[in-house]
Amino acid sequence: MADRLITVKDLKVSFMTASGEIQAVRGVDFHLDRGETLAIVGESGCGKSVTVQTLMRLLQEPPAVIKSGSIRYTNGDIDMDIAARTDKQMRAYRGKEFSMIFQDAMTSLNPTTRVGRQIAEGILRHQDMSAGEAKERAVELLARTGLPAPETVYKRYPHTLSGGQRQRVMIAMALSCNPAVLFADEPTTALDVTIQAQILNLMNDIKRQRNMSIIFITHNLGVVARMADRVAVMYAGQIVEAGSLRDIFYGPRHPYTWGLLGSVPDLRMNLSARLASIPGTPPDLFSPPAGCPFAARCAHCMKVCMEVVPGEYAVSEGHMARCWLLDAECETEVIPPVGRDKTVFKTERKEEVHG
Amino acid sequence: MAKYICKRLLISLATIWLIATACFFLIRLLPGNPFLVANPLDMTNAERLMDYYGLNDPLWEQYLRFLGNLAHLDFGYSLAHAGRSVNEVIALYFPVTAQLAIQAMLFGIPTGILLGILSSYRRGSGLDVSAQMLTILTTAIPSYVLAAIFQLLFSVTLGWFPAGGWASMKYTVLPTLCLSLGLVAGYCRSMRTLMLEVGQQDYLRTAKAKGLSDLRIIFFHQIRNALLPLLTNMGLEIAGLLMGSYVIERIFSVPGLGKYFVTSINELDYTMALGLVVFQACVVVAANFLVDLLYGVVDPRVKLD
Amino acid sequence: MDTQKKITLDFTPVDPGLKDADQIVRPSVRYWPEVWKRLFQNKLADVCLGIILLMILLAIFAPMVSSYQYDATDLLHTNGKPCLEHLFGTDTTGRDMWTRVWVGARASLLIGFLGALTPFVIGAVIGAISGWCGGWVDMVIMRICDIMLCIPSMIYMILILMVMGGSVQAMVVAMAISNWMGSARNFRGRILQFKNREFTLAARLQGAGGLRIVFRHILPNILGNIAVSLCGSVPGAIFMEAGMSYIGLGVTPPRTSLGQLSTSGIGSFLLPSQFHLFLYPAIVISMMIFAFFMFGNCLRDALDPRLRDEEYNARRMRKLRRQMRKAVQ
Repeated sequence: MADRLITVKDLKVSFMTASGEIQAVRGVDFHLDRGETLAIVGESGCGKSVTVQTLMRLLQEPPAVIKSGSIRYTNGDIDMDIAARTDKQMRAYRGKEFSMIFQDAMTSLNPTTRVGRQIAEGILRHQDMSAGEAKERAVELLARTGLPAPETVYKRYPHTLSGGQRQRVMIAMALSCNPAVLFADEPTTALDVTIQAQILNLMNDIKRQRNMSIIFITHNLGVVARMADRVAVMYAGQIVEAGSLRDIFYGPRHPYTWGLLGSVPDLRMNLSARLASIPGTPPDLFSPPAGCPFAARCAHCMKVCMEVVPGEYAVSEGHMARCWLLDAECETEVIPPVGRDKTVFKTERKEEVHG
Repeated sequence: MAKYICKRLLISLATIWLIATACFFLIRLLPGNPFLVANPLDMTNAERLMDYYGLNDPLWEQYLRFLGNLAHLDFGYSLAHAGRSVNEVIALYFPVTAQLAIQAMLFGIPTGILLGILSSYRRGSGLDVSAQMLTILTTAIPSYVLAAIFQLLFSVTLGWFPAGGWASMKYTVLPTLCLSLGLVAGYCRSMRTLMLEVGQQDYLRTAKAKGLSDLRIIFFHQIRNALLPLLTNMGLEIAGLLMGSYVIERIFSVPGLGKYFVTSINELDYTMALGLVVFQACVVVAANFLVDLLYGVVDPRVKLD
Repeated sequence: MDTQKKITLDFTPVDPGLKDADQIVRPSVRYWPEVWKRLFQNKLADVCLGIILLMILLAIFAPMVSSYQYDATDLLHTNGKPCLEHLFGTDTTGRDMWTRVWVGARASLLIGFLGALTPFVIGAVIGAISGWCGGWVDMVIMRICDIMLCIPSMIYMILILMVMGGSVQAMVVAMAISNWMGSARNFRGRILQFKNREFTLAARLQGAGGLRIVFRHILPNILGNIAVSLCGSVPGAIFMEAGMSYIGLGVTPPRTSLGQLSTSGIGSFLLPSQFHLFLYPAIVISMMIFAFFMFGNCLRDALDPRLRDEEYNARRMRKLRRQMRKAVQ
């Protein structure tokens, strides 16, 4: 049995605004083991950032409200439900047990403070060190992330660094207290492709060395292929399909995953063929649809899809999808347009989630 | 750095020169003989005075003389009061105005900033609402009305402070308070908005993700970044205080430069008014210059070149 | 329950052509009607607008229907207390204060509106030229702006009023000269911000000229901002006039303004017999400034509902905290 660090059960997060409730995350279940990378994939606004920020309780509460669910975190002596903790109690764990890298390193670093100081600040918060020791440690971390002349970088301000350098500083900051889990919220989206590769390699190296777990948010499937052990596909605040990297890339079961994979350009592709895209837009989370959220855009939509939310169907060990096509009673045969594994199994429903 | 200072210094000097020139020629546009307004003189005596003060010389000669004197920081002589030089008046009355303005700034700016921080931290609380009410009241009620109310309340009814005059610290309380209320309200309002704006920034989320306490985030990250833009206003604040002191000094009969300036305008003592305007412009320009330099030192993003 | 539900499940496919893939659930709202709705739902805004309209009406009609001239002295009834005949009493030379206050309000309102509008329009034109032309035109205009901004505005005001004498026109000219720079900078920034946006480029590709683009495509986008800043500068202009009146450079007697009335009342407000000379003009000018100021605030909130969300959440947060504190006890 793998060492399970995080278990999320039926997590629901909403934003309360003057004009109504936005249901950003609507019942999400997943888990994270030690030393693995879980990628959460989905288009913008699907709730992936909200999910991850809830795991660290970084959201402003209110407007954000955890409607239901539990987030169980177990690591050594620590065994707690993050969803039930207060902000004050969480402070001791933020940066120490888990830390986070954000998409835009420019706006995520304080523009008027030297970067070294920003790193040392976190170290001083969690570790019993003198200011001098913290500085040494910060320089060491900067060197570890491959920044040349770490002593001078320590004294620089964020605006004098390049985008890749800033992201390295962010990584150094996130690693400063040896966290067990690293959340990475689209860390490479704002970077050049070559720099992107360097940063991804760096993250993979560090992960292997420290046996760290990473939850990696992205909408770039290339990055997923490079980083992830397991993948969760999110759509409109729900995980519509989850499985190992192999499952998702070679045997996807959910029409939305098909759409995602189909819209990736391929070098072997016929040049005259149009790049596939998913028609339509995601539903408005102010008033999510009654049935499957993807129904309106799905090419294989059935009447049931418009009326009832599909439950989770186990495709194989560790591979789950939420789609009525997988129901034993469904008679429509659909051949997945992508992936190698083209047979669709009909299964019994794994569990009735919102019955 | 040195290059930046030189550049800013040159711009400041050019600004003062522009102001002085504009003021000089505008004053010359004024109709009538200044000596006939202030004193009952006959034409010949007035003409002799005009000759004496060099006012009958060609305009460009007067202008060059004016600039030459200005370069020596000599602002000229009063027309209404024989033998009184503008420099004397400044030396006599400016310290009073400066004391009032400095006291008002020392009290008003920190109080305003503190109120703004507190009301942004406790949005919607009683403190926030009363701070906003204060802002609205000081904006809606003209300062002289407020001053009158204060006099009525604190001097006539309660008898705590004298209603006017200038003898000891006790006399400075009411004028300072009146002068600083606008500052308190303005800084409270801007600080509140800035704090809320900075509160939306990503780097505060980063700080929170490091596990820092709320207090450290607010002090070390939020307030620091919110204070910087306020600094740029400080130079302009001095202009506002000078303007405010005209009114306040007159109500509380404080013997300051503002009061003297108003008197000189009412007496149509134009060289005096001109000299005082140019002097005050110099003060404001110098303050702006210093604030610019300070800003360059405090904010690492500003490049000094 | 599980089996019951399964019976109703209907697995017949739906024709994709019949569905609307872009589900638009939120009703489409038009911008300006929505803003007006928000504005007039705000009671404070209604009250402020009411005060402003009432003051404008009184300023126009009260002196007309009054049986007194604002400058007619009546030495038999000096320093009269407010009564039915003289609603606000009479001043030291027996002039009817009710008439004088509303004649003064005319001047103050005129200065308020024109003093806010004129520098704004001048600044807008200069700023638009600067932003639209760019290059050396832009550079020259902006340098002039910078230098003029360095000079405290009161210096212009004092000099111009000394030269032109105190009158409404002089006041407006002085404000136009001393205040156009802020509006020019603001407008230039806006133009630059929208000049290279896609919709402007699209309009240009369709052959629209510069003026048409500024008026049809850029102006509507910044109209809200303009309205708010104008509302904010009206009280500023009224204030400026009052301050200048206090120095003795405002509207000169026998013509009058609220600033002049209230400042001349100050000299004697400690005398009980003359307190009303100070009280009524001060109340009217304070209410006028308050109404404009608050209306501007309400307008800003109506234009940018995000701020209201922010307030809503702040209130919610406080409520939650209170509940938690209670629960602990």
